[in-house]
Amino acid sequence: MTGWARLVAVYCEEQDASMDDKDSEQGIVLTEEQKRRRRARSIAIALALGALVLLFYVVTIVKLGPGVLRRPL
Amino acid sequence: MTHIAADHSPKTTVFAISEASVGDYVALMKPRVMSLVVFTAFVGLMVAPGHLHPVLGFAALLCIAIGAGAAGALNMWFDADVDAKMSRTARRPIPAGRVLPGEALAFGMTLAFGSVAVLGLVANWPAAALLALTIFFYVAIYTMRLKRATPQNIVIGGAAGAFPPVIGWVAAVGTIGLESVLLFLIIFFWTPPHFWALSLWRADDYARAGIPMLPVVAGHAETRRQILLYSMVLAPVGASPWLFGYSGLLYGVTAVMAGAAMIWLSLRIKTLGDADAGNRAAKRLFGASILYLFVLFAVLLIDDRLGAFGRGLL
Repeated sequence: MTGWARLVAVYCEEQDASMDDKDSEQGIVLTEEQKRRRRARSIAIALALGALVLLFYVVTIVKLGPGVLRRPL
Repeated sequence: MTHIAADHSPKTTVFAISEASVGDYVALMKPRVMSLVVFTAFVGLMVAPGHLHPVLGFAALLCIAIGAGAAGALNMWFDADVDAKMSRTARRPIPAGRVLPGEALAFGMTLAFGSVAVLGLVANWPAAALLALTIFFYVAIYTMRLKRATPQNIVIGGAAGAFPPVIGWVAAVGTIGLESVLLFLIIFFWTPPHFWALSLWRADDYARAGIPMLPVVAGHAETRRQILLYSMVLAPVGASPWLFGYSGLLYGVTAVMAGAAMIWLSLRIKTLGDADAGNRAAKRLFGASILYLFVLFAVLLIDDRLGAFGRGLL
C-alpha cells in the first residue's frame, strides 16, 4: 500500500470509529460488512478527489502554458 | 443495540443504511455503454480538423465519459421500478437493494453538473452545452417521457447516444461541422436495428415491465420489417462520410461491406420468422451491430490518420 493510500485508509478508519461512537449513542450499530463497504466508498471518494486535484493542476499548466510565469508583479 | 439492515421503503428511508460497494457505483454508470460513448467521442475528437492538446483531449473525453455515466445513473434511478420487473435488469444496484434511490440521484446529479462544468472549462462551452443537452435528452426526454409512452422510444431517444462524436468534434473545433452531423446520423440510424434485435428475444421481459417496445406493441413481424428498413437506410448513411468526400477508399469499402452485412443479417431475421433460428439470427444481428459501429468508427479513424500521414500532418 502506498503512503497516500495508507494515509487515506487510516483517516477513514478514524472517521469510522468516530461515527461508530455516535452510532452507539443512538443505538445504531453497523454490521462489519456495512463498515467495510463504507470504508471502501470513502477511500474511492478520496482517490477521486485526489485525481481531480491532479487533473485541474495539469490542465491549468497546459492551458496557461509558459504564460503562467510571465505575469506583471 | 440494533443492527440496522438496509431498508428502502419510503417510510423508513431515514434509517436506511447504504450497502453499496464501489462496484455498485461503477455499475450505476453503465460502463459498457460508456465504453462505446468514449470510443465514438474519441473518434469525433480525432477526425475533427482542429487541434486539442492531448492532456485537454484526455480531460474532455473523461468529462464525456462521466457525463454518460451520470445519464446512466439517473436512468437507473428513474427506472428502478421497471428494472425490478425485467430479468435483464433486476440485478442492477437499485432494484437489488444495494444502492438507495436517493444515493443514485445524488450521484448522477453530481456527476452531471461536474462533467458539464469541467468540460466547459477544459475544452469550450459549446461542447459543454451539447453534453448537458445529451444528458437532459437521455434522462428527461427518453427515460422520463418516451420510454414508457411510445414504441418509437429508442428511435427518438437514440439521438442521445448519437451525440458523443459530435461533442468530441465540438470540443476540438468549437463548432458543429457537416462531418460530425454524418457521424451523428450513423449512430442515430444504427440504434433502432440494434435495440429492436435485442427486444425481439426480450419481448416478454418488456411486456412484463409495461414498456411499449415495438415487438410488444406492433408484433414481431412488424419489428423484423422495421429492422430491415432501418438497416437499408443505415447502409448508405454509414458510407456517407466517403460519399461526401470526408474519408478515403479504405473507409468507403469497409462501410459498404459492413452495411451489406447488416442488411443480410436483417433479411435473415425477416425470413426465419419466430422460430429458434430466427431468435438466434436476432442475437447475431445484435452482436454484429456492436461490431459494425466499432469497425466503422475505428476504420474512419485509421483512414483519417493515413490521410493525415499522406499530407504530412501526422
